[in-house]
Amino acid sequence: MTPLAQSERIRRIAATMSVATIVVAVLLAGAGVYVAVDLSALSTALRSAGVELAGTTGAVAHALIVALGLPAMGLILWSLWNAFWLFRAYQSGDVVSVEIGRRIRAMGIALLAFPVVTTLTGMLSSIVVSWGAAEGSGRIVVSVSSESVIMAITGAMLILVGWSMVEATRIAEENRQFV
Amino acid sequence: MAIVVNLDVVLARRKMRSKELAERIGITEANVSLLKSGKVKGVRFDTLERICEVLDCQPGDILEWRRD
Repeated sequence: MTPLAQSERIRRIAATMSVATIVVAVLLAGAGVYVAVDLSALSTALRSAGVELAGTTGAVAHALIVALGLPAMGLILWSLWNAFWLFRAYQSGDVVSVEIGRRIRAMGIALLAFPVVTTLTGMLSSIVVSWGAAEGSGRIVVSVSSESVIMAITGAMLILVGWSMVEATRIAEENRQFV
Repeated sequence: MAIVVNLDVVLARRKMRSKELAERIGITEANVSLLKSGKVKGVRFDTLERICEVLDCQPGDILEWRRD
């Protein structure tokens, strides 16, 4: 494949991915709103995070659990926004710039922070759920999955790749000032 | 500026235009102009070598250090 054909292919893939990123972001935001208003959906979401919603949950607890889910949702949407920006940049042929490096680094920070935030909020959610329970039945759930660890490692790697990109761009820019 | 580019002086002595120099050393006329005005961060050795070859001069004829 010639470099030009490869470049065209990358642009097409980037265009498709930018649309897919927006669709995923909208679906996730919609799912977030659904989980926030529907208690059974919230119960299912919490169960997947290792927290069992016991019996009836009051409005305050419900609101607290939803609020605890907001940082994780924010990180996902921020990550998707950066991904969307990157795909749009690749689509327009801008493959090396300081801003691209910064966006990759931002995605890395989001991916690294996500498992930390979800572990903490999962733990806090378990406290909220079992708050006021009979003595001896309260519990704290600390859930760490292999996916979380892989996500954190990927995030750390992306931070380094983004940093390398920023440095490489600066070197390329400096090189352009040599004749 | 501590390093002064005397390319315009050498060009004038050789009675050569920037355009001809640019063509013979294989860089753009805009870059020759930037080099003449000293508005570049640096000169690659291969560019300097070609300039010296075309203008039959030494690097010291083109670049000069002056105390500020």
